[in-house]
Amino acid sequence: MGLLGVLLSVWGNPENSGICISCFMENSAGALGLHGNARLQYLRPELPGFVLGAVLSAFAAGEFRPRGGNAPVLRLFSGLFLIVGCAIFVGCPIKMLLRLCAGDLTALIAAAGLVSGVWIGLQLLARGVDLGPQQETNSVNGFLIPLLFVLLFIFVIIPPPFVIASTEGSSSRHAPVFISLASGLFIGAIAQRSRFCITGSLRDIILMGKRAPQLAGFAAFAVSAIIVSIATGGMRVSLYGQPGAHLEHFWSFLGMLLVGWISVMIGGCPFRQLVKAGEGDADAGMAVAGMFLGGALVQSWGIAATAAGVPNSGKVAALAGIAFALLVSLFFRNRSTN
Amino acid sequence: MTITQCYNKVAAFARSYVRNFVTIPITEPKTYCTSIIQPPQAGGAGCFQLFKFLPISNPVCYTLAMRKITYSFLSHIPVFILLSLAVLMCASCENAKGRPTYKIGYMNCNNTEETLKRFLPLTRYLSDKVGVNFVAVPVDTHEFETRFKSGEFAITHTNSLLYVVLKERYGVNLIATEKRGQFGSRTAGSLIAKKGSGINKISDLKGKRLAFGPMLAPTGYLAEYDLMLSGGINPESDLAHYTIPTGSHKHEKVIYGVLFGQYDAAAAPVLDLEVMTRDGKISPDDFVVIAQGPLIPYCTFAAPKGTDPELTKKVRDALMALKPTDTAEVDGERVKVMKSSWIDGYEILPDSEYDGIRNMAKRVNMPPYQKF
Amino acid sequence: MTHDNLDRSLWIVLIAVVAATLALSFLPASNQSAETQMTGGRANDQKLLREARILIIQRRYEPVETLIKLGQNQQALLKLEEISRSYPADPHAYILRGELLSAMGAPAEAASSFAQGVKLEGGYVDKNSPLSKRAAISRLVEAELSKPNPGSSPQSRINDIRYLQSRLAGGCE
Repeated sequence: MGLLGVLLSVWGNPENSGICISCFMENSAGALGLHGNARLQYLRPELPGFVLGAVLSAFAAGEFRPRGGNAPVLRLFSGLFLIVGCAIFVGCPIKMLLRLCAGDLTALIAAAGLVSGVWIGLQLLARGVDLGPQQETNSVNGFLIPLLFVLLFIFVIIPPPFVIASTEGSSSRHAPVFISLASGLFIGAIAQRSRFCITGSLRDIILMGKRAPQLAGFAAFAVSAIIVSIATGGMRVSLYGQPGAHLEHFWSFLGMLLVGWISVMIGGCPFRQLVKAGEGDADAGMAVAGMFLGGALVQSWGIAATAAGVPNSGKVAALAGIAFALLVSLFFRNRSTN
Repeated sequence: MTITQCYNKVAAFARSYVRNFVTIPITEPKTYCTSIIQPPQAGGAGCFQLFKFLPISNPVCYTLAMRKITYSFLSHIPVFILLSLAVLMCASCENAKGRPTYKIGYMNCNNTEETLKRFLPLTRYLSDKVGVNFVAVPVDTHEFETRFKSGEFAITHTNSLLYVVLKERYGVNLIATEKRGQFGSRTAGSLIAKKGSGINKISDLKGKRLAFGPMLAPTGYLAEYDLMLSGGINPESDLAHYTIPTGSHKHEKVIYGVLFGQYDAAAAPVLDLEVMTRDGKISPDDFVVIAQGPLIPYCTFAAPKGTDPELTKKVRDALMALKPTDTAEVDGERVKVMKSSWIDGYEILPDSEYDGIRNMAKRVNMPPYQKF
Repeated sequence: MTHDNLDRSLWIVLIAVVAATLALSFLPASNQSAETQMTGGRANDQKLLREARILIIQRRYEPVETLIKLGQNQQALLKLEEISRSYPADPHAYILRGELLSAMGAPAEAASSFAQGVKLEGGYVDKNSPLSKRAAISRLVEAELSKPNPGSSPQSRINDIRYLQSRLAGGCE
């Protein structure tokens, strides 16, 4: 993933954004007409690639299991706030790693925020915060989100006239469609098999320390990304002048803290939600729908941060996200276990 | 009654009030809780000292006593707030009265009234930030050096040429340079003529009527004089004549003078051209800029050698911290300091930035290098 | 799934509806006039807006561009000021002012003006935009960064340069 994450940028995606779920969500929401930022409209082929790759892999391994029914509306809002947190930092946890591996030191504070968020989520889980058990559900529930991504896949191959593609801005920069699709399918499939999840890995590392196998996974990601970054000339170690990065470190920290916290609460980072939706998890599907909604809102309401900094509405949205996480923790806590 | 007397009276009243509050007459609680409340010891018949004998062992008595104390406390809160405010105001009056007073000499740009109106909010802001009383003193350009020499000012605010004069002759220390207009802390002088007059370059000025701004103006006189000399025109001999308008607003007068045909050309500071264009007073379609001088520092805050370095540092810090949202109170109104003082901010330039002015002054034979 | 007649009927209707959906998706439209209004409208509107903006900019700032070509930078700056009275938030004015100030020896003020323009319209740092001023902005940023001890400059000045540097580096917006 580290290798492909950097290579997708070399092949045309914006710098440090070879894989970025939140950027892809914002771009794709714009392409479908859900927001009006003309510089951020492109149906990223990687997105249907991730989900359909996971679907194929889950079917091949006999792991496609329709399930759900666990606080669906809450998961919709969780997905929305995941994208809000990412938009404040300008990137999802995978992009955060890619930025770090390209020498972007502003991502360090965000990494601290993500770890803090995961730690808070874990502490609350240990004290009884639980969204409840999932149940086996009607298979149609598990198929709907994959079907939506089949539709998006068709839109990528045969773009209908209502799908917009930016001619300027970061969305006008993309790897060739079939390379993006193939990369997405491959990454989706291996992520389904390996259960790859940035926040899940952090959770396991916090719980298990050096014994966590995810530590080796992280190291492999980082080493491959760093080597390719150096080889392709993308490495520049600095706090300043980094692509799509701002210097409001407190808000970067808070944005990623929100992402880490919510990810632990709903069982996976934004990327993992896509993969789980591909495995027939309708709850993860609701989170994905929320992420789409979030992708549209962060642009329409001027929430997303830019290199110029975090707008006031973005700060308000981040705090609203923290308030949301606190409310969930208060009202979804099983106090009898303590 | 003096402020001190007023302060003492209010403070004494407040003290007695506080004493009455913390010593509560014992009535109902005694009736209800005779077995628990201990009789008053020393310090006043019929009273018990709050907290000291609070009967916390009996819940009924405790609740009654606490309710009484709470009612009593709540009923006194508004009086306390008013008293505290009064005491604080008096204290601050006393404080302001006791602060040292320093004068800031502001060189008049146009006239005394305008200078005071413009710089009073900034002066109040500096007083608030630095913790001393600054007094704004408007001074005519030609009087400035004489009054400076007498040691009247702790801080000076002058144009950049006058700063150079004071620096060379008296060793003032640069505090900060004012930012205003498109070139920030720097500005320039220019020569203008009416469009279609046939005057398009400096050599065209030969035999023409020209108006300068005030003689000590770096961008209304010095820069343009230097421009003409470098362009091969000696203003003393090659022009039909040159003049300096009388009264205030000389820069505006020379610009209007060109547009209305009173002069063929004028020495116009680019900042005035910019401001007048922005205000819609003139249109750049009506005149041509024949030549423009180099960018030189704009108005400058400086401190005489004798001024306390700590005070100088505080003034510099306050100027650098000035934000568009900062306000100051003038005549009972809170006004935005930067807006009312026509300031975009301040910058700390090195003294070497003023070398351009020094070189021009030498070429033009002006103070502080004037030779007779 | 095919328990009774109702199941079988529902399946038949479902297959028919899916077939019709696919047919409608891939067959040519039957009512062309309704189609043109629905499809491609947004993309066309955006294209039209882009083209119109370029034409408006050319027309609005033609006097300034003419003065710049004649080398009358101060006059051009004043003309720009006059135009800005009518269009105070136009990013193109900020970019032109940045170019002029840079040429007139005020790089810090130029960077501030460029930064304001790019914040309003990111196309000025795009490589492929018809409005791109990437080369001029890039030159200024490099020159400012190469100055000795840039850290001693006022914070606002450094912030502008760093913002432009970050935008020139690309990435997501």
